[in-house]
Amino acid sequence: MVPLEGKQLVIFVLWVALTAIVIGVFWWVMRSTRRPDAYDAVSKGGYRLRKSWAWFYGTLLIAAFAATLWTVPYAWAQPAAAKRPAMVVTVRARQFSFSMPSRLPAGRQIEFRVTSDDVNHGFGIYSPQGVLVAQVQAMPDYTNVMYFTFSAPGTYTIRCLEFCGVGHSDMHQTLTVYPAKGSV
Amino acid sequence: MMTRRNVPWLGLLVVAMAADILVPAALGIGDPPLGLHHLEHAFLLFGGGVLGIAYVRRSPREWGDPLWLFATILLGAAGLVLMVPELYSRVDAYPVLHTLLHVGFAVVGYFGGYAAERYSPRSGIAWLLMVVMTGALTATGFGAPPPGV
Amino acid sequence: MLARQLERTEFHAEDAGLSPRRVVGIGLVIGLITIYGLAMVGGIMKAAQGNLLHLAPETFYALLTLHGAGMIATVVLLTGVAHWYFLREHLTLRVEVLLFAVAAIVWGLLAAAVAVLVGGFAPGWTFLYPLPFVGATWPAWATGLFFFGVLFVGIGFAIYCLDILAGIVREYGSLLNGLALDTLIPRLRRADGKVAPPTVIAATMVAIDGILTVSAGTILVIALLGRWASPNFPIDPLWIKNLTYFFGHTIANLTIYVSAGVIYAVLPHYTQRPWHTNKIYAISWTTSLIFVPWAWPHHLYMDFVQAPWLQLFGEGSTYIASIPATVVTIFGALLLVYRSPMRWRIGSTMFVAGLLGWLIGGAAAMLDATIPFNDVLHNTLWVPAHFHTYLLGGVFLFVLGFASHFAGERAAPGRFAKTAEWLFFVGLGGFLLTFYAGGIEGVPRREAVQPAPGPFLADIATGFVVILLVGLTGVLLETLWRARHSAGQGGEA
Repeated sequence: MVPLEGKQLVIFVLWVALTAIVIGVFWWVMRSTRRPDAYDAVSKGGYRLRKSWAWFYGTLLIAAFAATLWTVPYAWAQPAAAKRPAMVVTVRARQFSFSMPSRLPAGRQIEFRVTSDDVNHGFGIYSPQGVLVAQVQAMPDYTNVMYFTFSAPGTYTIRCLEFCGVGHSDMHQTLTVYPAKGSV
Repeated sequence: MMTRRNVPWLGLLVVAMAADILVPAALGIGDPPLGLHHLEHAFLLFGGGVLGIAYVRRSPREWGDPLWLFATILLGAAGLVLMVPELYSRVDAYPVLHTLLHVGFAVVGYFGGYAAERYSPRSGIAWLLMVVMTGALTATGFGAPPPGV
Repeated sequence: MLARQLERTEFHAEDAGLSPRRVVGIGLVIGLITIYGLAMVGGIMKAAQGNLLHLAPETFYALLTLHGAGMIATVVLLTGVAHWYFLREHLTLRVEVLLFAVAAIVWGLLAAAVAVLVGGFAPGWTFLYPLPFVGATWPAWATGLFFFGVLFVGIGFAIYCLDILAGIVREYGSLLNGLALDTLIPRLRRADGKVAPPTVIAATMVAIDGILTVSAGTILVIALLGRWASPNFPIDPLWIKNLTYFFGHTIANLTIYVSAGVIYAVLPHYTQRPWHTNKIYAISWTTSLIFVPWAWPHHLYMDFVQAPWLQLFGEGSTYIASIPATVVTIFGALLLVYRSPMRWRIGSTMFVAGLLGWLIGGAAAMLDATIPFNDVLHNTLWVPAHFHTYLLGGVFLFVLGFASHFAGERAAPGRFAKTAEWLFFVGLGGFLLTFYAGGIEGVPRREAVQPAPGPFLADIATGFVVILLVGLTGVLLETLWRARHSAGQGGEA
């Protein structure tokens, strides 16, 4: 099994918590039908609760939306400090391989310029532990620019993440990330 | 119902449509940018539809024959067929044919609105909704090559 | 005058022995059989991913295409007939039109099935351009036939929506009244005080957005047919990708809003409490009407060239569209159930369980629709995890609930029915969990051969699919048995 870490861990915890709460609420509501009561008696409190719930949920969504503004993976949202000259790497995807360097440095920001020669492909980077750490689509006639910094050296896997035809599941290759100069 | 109050507006619509169809051909003006051209087609379909609806609304009619609904769908397809680039690019070279094609849009629009409104009072609005939506969506890039190619 | 016109109306199809109930029944039976078959196809794919049986990749992807396209079209058909059945209590709808819509969708399904099973068409149900034309392992006729199939399904849905729109305008005066906006705008109020009930409000939203969706789908298919007929036909890949998901996402998403219309109509039967229209419903369904069609850009988050405003608008719209569902429909349903003298039948259990699936799948969807999370979820098994939760664990449960209600169920379920129901839910839950686990582990979706731990999870999933299918068989047999023994007088909970 792949270790659960980073964003995946956050997502997993959030989803399990939400699911547990929802199941709990449903269980409680379903059990309540053993003690029937008049609708008028229930609905007043229900409408009050609905109002609080609407406010709470609305606030939560606005907060989540605001938070994402600072964390989107797009070039325009990169902090100014990260916009120092990056190493430019061109990736050309085609049925069913990637044309790109097989060795890249760790610790240095890389500007991936990703495009495709034929159909839509995905460009997904999996860490040596097998965790999906970043991805971008490879589309014909367009170039998607993704900034990414490999945090640690090791053998990464590049995997196509958009169904691209009969050889789709074979479309993966390894990428060696070597230690940054001056480190080690 | 078509009231007296609406007649001047409908007249204005007819004039606008006629101008849109005839003036560029008469003055020898080329096509507008592709997106705008699609909107022009949508305007002709829409204007024709409004006239068709207004015609039906002059008098009350029996409603409910599903054939009118099927006709509406078929006319919608006809409107799209008129935009098929293979056909369009061939016609485009001849100003007269191009003008006729634009008349065709207005006619399809008219019968589409007519048919939809014949199905049931005020259901012509669904035809106008379809026409506006297809017009807006085609204007975003139907038949447009990718940039840089 | 309208009343006079109404009086003159005759239902010719009823004279021909086609009662509305019968047409709904035909749609229901065809749809359920198709879903059962396609669910088996799904199980076969899982078994192949788990190395329990061998499928050539081209066969796997052909089955994937059939499963996806078939399920979407069938779910549109099933929810459509179910909602129509209740809408007839409020609107005058033509049974011929429903029959035509059902026939068009069935013909579309058949065309797609031939294209896939005979022709081997296999670019996935989203047939993302230019995949249908590049490196194809199937003949050109299969491509064309499949697109015509999609067109037929679109025509069927469009005509269904058109008739509902016409019916609403006839009955309530305007589409604004159909959305019950007269509860907010005094000028719209009718002299007779008639206000659209929630199920009609849902129908108004679905029919308008349905027309928009089908318009998008038609342009999409016409462009692809243009390319099919002439290789020189120019298509901008980013434009058509947007259009593909506008159509694909919205039509799949709309099925849950059709289902909401069914819930509004059917849940009061079981809880013995009324479900009334008020301002909140008008506001929330107008919100859905506006924002649901704008949620599609969340499928293009990983296309970094897409305009930033569209990315953010897609995220915002997805968030906003979730408010009416959670605050109004699902909350309202729970309030209707809470401490009600609920009749627990297969139907009512399915409806309440379906609401649960809608919420859990929705929560997963919201996480996926959050851009920084989409970064690690996009095109992993998380995506099928969330949509199986609210299509199989939500919409399909509503359909089963409707089927049970339609067949008639006066008595509480016996031991056979309860066992079948539990098997079905256990299979469903286990199956979905393997999908979520795969997604969180970064296993890509749509792969004939998956990296670890995909095959291991697929093995477990296959087991749960078997349990699910056994339970489903039981539930369907029970429903069929009740239908035969209730003398066709359904509707009584």
